[in-house]
Amino acid sequence: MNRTEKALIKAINGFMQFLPVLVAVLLLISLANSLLGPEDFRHFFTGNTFTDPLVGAILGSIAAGNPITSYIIGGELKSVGVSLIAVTAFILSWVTVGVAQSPMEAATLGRRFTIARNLTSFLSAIIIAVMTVTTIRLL
Amino acid sequence: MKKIKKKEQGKLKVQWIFLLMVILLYAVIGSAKPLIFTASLEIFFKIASQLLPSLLLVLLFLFTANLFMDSKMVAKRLVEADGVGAWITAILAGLLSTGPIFLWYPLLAELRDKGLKNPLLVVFLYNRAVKIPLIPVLVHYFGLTYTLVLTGYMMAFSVINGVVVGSVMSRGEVE
Repeated sequence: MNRTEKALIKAINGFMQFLPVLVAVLLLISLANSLLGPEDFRHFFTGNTFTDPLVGAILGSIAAGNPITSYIIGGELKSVGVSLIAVTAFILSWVTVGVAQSPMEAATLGRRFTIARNLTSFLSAIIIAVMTVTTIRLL
Repeated sequence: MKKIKKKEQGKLKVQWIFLLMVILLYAVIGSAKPLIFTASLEIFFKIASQLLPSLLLVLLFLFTANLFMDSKMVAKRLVEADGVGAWITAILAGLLSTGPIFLWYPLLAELRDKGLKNPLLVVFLYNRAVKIPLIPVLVHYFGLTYTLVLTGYMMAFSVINGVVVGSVMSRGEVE
């Protein structure tokens, strides 16, 4: 098997790793869209400038899975009116904070390292979210 | 390593079981509330068709990354780099690294034993969150400007986080 074939097989395998979750999440989002209205998301996001990014970051930290899932959920949250800062904090904490992976991270890289890294990632998620949206508004 | 591969296979199985459960949920809804079932499927096909071009790009990027990237080469560069070059190497290595994080943890622990500093480890891990192959999907939902600004801040903050965690870890060593 040559290098190109190997790369193609690896790419397809990588793609197949997130495909079932992607399809499942899309199906669940579609179901939620047909059952719930935008106002139902207000339970989590109240429109408060200060608490919404925090809620987004907490939800993103707890959730686990492929980043593509966070982009899709984030996109749907944005389309129902959740603030871009909260959505960004959600996506960022999803991809940078690893509560689910933390036992494995702590076992290999140390508990102190894992706690410090995840805490700074959590705080950064909120700060970056605010800075990203502010920058876009200024551009 | 075998243990990790087994864990990955298990994870993959869980993903298919998750999909199967959702399909079963749809089957139940289809028999009880056919109107909701049809409406949900219509929404699903609408979103999926919008996403399809971005997903094909994702596959192309994954192929390109696998064609030109080698995790052992990345690891070697990460340990050998020095000064400002070390930070840049850690950022690039994180951006370009592929594969599940479970496979990287043991390798990173080994690299740390060989001299990889904690701040660079953090920079590497943080930049892994910037998924270059998945950028088409992010652009699809949030636009190119947003994606570029967010990515830029993530790379900058990876260094800040590296410095902070590095200082926390060195304090721990002093104590």
